[in-house]
Amino acid sequence: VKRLYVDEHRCEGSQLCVASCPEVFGFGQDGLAYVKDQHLASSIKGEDLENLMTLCPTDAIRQEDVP
Amino acid sequence: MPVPLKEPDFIEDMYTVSVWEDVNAALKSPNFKVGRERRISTRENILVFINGKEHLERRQIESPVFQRDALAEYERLTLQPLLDSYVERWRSLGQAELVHETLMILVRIGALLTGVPGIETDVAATEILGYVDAWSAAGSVEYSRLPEDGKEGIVKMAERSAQEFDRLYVSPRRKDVLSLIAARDANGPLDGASRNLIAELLAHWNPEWKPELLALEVLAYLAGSVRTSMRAVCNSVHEISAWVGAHPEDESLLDDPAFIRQAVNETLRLHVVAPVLLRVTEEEAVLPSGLTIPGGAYVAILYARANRDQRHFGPDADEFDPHRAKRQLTGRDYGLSFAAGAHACIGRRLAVGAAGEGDGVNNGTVMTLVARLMHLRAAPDPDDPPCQLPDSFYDEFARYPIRFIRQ
Repeated sequence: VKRLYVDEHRCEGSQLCVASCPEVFGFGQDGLAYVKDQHLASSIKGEDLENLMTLCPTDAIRQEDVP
Repeated sequence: MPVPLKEPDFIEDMYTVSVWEDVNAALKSPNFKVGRERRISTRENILVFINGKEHLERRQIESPVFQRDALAEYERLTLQPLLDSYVERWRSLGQAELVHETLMILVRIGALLTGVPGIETDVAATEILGYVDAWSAAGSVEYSRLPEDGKEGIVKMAERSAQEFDRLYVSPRRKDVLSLIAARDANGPLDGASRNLIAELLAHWNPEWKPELLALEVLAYLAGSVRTSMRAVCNSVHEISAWVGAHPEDESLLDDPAFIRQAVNETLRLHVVAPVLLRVTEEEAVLPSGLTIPGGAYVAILYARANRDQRHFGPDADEFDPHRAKRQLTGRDYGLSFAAGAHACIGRRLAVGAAGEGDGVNNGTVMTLVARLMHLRAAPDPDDPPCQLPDSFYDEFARYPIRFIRQ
């Protein structure tokens, strides 16, 4: 199972992910984006997921394996 | 040797933000808007001067041009062959004037990425640069000490220049590009190398936009990328040459992409591309250091000072050290030189790439150029030393003659 997350060390707060997918990403008071709906995020797959990940100018949208 | 820090005098009456955490927070806060007192028609409604939802929507439209796959294809199909032709000439001559050569390369690249074809000679590139410089000149009149009629003259010249640029280079493209967009809609998305700014804007054109916006976005992109990248290339060559002169044991690293990347990042940290970032607060802001700024205040964000914060870059933060990244310091390698937040430089990945990120990465135009130059062992010509542009906010050379030690 893969989990989508925003790498806080890479995120520079461009908010493109929030603008593209407001139902999945939120923007915190700390100036960083975060995944607010993991269930919805896990439904994004294939080319849509690739497009979303490459949209971020700092490559902060990442995937990791979860047990 | 500390690298001198240049700051403009027009910020005297503004609030200043210079502590790393404050700069970071201010740049990411939607409370700090881009804004200007003086209305300049050639700057209205372009990406870098709009805010909020409108800005995010425009950035979404333009960002496919700067995505990883598009840039990787651009580097393979456009940048490398173009550089090959220049390198061949440099090798045969054994010398070059770096400011001119870099500008010519960058204008041609910028023209391709924006969707202005046919810029294949130095004469054509120089003509484009003239329009870009006229557009840029109007940006600083707000802060210049010129008399009012002098300022108006510069603004008028920028307007005329933008109109002519539109008539000659952008408007004639509309029909062809719209046909291309129709084909794209019919056959699926274009591959990365076919993306450009004009095509993306026309494909998502908002009928409320004025027709001239297309040319103005192209000019803004070229203004934001050509001279800034030229400065980054020249300053990188200058710093690396001086470093290797003082540290001859590092000469073998000039063919190491990781060393060049670190050296360019360090150059960008110390030689920032603009003297200051200006913002206007919407409402009162309290920054991490406790600094309070009232609403409606003009704020000068001095990110060049933040880039030299000793807490994040070490006690020698004012000095150039291409090995700094090895020290595991907390500051980002290039500091805040590409800004942060919604208005972070859209062309960062184009300039410095995303190396080491797996498949489909691009190395960056500035990184690639500097690597090719240092591979040839570019060094300042001892018989014709480089000269800085006098009275400039920027760390910019007027001329930078180089010799290639390795042919």
